[in-house]
Amino acid sequence: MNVVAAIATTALRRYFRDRSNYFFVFLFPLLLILVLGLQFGGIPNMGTVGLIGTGTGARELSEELEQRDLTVQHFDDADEARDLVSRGRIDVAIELPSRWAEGERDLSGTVRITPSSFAKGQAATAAIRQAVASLADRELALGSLVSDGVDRKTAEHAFDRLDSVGPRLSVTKAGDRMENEFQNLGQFDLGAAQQLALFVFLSALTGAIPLIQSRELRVTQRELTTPISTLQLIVGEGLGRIAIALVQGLYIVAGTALLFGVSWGDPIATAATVTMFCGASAGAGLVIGALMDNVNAAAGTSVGVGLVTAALGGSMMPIEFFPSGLLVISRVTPHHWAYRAFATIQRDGGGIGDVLGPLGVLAAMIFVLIPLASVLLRRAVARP
Amino acid sequence: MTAAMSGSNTAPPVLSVNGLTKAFGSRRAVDDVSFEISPGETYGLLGPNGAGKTTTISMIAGLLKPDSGHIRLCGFEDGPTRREARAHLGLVPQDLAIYPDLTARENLVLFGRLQGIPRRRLRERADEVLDVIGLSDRSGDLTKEYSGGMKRRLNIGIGLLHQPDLLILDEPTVGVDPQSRNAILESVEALSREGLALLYTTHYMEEAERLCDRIGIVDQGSMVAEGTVDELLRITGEADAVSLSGSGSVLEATRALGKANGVVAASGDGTTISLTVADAPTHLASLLATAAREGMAVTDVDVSRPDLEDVFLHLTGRALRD
Repeated sequence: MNVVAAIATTALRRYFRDRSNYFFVFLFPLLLILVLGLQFGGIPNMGTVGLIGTGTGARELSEELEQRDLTVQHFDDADEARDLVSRGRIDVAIELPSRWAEGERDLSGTVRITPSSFAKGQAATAAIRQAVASLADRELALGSLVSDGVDRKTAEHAFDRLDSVGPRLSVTKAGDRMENEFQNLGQFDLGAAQQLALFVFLSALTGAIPLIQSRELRVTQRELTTPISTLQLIVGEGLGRIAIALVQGLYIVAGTALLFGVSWGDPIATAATVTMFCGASAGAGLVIGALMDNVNAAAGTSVGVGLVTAALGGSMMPIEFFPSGLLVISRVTPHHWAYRAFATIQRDGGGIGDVLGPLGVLAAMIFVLIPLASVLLRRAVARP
Repeated sequence: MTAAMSGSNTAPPVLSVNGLTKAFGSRRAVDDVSFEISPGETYGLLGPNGAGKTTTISMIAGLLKPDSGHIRLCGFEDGPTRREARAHLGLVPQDLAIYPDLTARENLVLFGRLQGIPRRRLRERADEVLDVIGLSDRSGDLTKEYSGGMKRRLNIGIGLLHQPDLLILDEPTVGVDPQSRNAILESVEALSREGLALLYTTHYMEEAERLCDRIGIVDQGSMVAEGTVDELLRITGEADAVSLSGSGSVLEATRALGKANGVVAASGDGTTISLTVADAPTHLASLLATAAREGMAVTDVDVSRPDLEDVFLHLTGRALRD
């Protein structure tokens, strides 16, 4: 253990001796939090919708959307609304069939929804679908009553009174699942968890570089002529990287909670998830470091792998929006399991017992990646 | 391959290498190499770059697994695969295997902890080593601020830290200025005097001649000869060349010297006598006395002995530095 500690403390000492690393550990996460806060924080709703048209139908939909915590901006020009979506200024643009928008009680035609690629756009789209469906159901029911001879105003009055009549049966359709997934999240909660996974993993992958540098300096080879095993060396290097990743991860958790009110849920479950994710991330970094011999190539690979796995693992788009095939692939990434654990903790108020499954998978990843890195490192030092 | 020759020491060898072979693809980097090192002995592996010296050392240090052959290290039959065996080994690699962003003391402490030296003892030992390598006053400076010679000394210090039974030095003077080189060679001589067994690889024959009790000459992965310097020089079968210049009875002196003990051939041109002598240092005094007795006033003496360069050339048909 003394040997592992010696290697880990040396890795930490070397890391923090490079002053530029203070930026990545302490300043960069804070900047990330600030940027995300500016993007998501302070917007007290599920997203901003650009609704084309100002007629009666559009106003009715607008009211329905606002009841679902969406902010509605009205536009006359569909292109303008879509342009704002593409520039990230609003989350979704909705274009109703013209006759519906003008309030002619004609629901034929297609509602065009143009969401942004961000998670908020996807979540807002789910809410919009629900609102449109609700409105359509109401209109169908009203139409049916009117065709049976009920005065429309009377029928509308009866519907409006429904809200004050209780108790009501709440029915959740399968199609509503998406909105419900994000129902208990604060505006910044989802993004913070996603960015934590993205940033910590990317940062941990760069742990490949010092491992390669140690080999280039021939220090690794010299260390392996002492009475230590390759596994001890890798575990020591890994612990150093885990400690760095953990500092970054917990710093992001604390920073987002304090500055933007992110609710991370149960602290023990969150800490355990961050720790296990850091371990799996550090393991992945060590594998790259043991596999590759060139620092520049490893740096490029780390960024590439970091971004691809983040995208696959739900750090760029919630996995709830993934098609089933992609969801299967997503499971090979540690991000996926961290995402699921955070989802349980943040959305469902889950504790450590509720996230044992994802934590177990992350632990399994550690127990595969660390010995794999050890074998690869032994091969690397044997290369002529 | 020359059969391994053991040193004169009767104690069990600290290192016994037998039939060591290692290939990278189709290239045999080390081919059936065998040798032994006795306690306190300095053994040199002499050969040009690419001869297989570093590969041999890498196998002895446990970094490479031999394709075949056996290494017995400090009494451990399993050789360097046993961690306990590696604790008896100190390695000074050719490259500066130190962290440039750590101080000398931090580098020493890291390797000391890997060697399992208890903390308190490690502090004392680090101080001792820093003193020996002359870096006590710079021990708190980052090694990237050191000169090349200082880094080399630290590189050696790390190998000595845990007081190994066998210290392997892999071309420790490559790329070093003459002053630092001499300091390193003096350090190695001091270690040898203290009784440490040393395995010293070099492609500088002067270093091998100066430092080593026995030398193994390696070329293209194979050991082509082994022995003491004198034993190796005898391999060539060449005698020493002695040249005497002066005035007086040169022709008489030439004739007399031609019959002198140890002289193989003699020729003279009126001012200079050229002699081929077996073991010139032994006979030089009597040769000068003979010349003086015959009436020649010798003003200049030049003795030229075959060296390891000649041995290598004789054995391989190529120069050592080719």
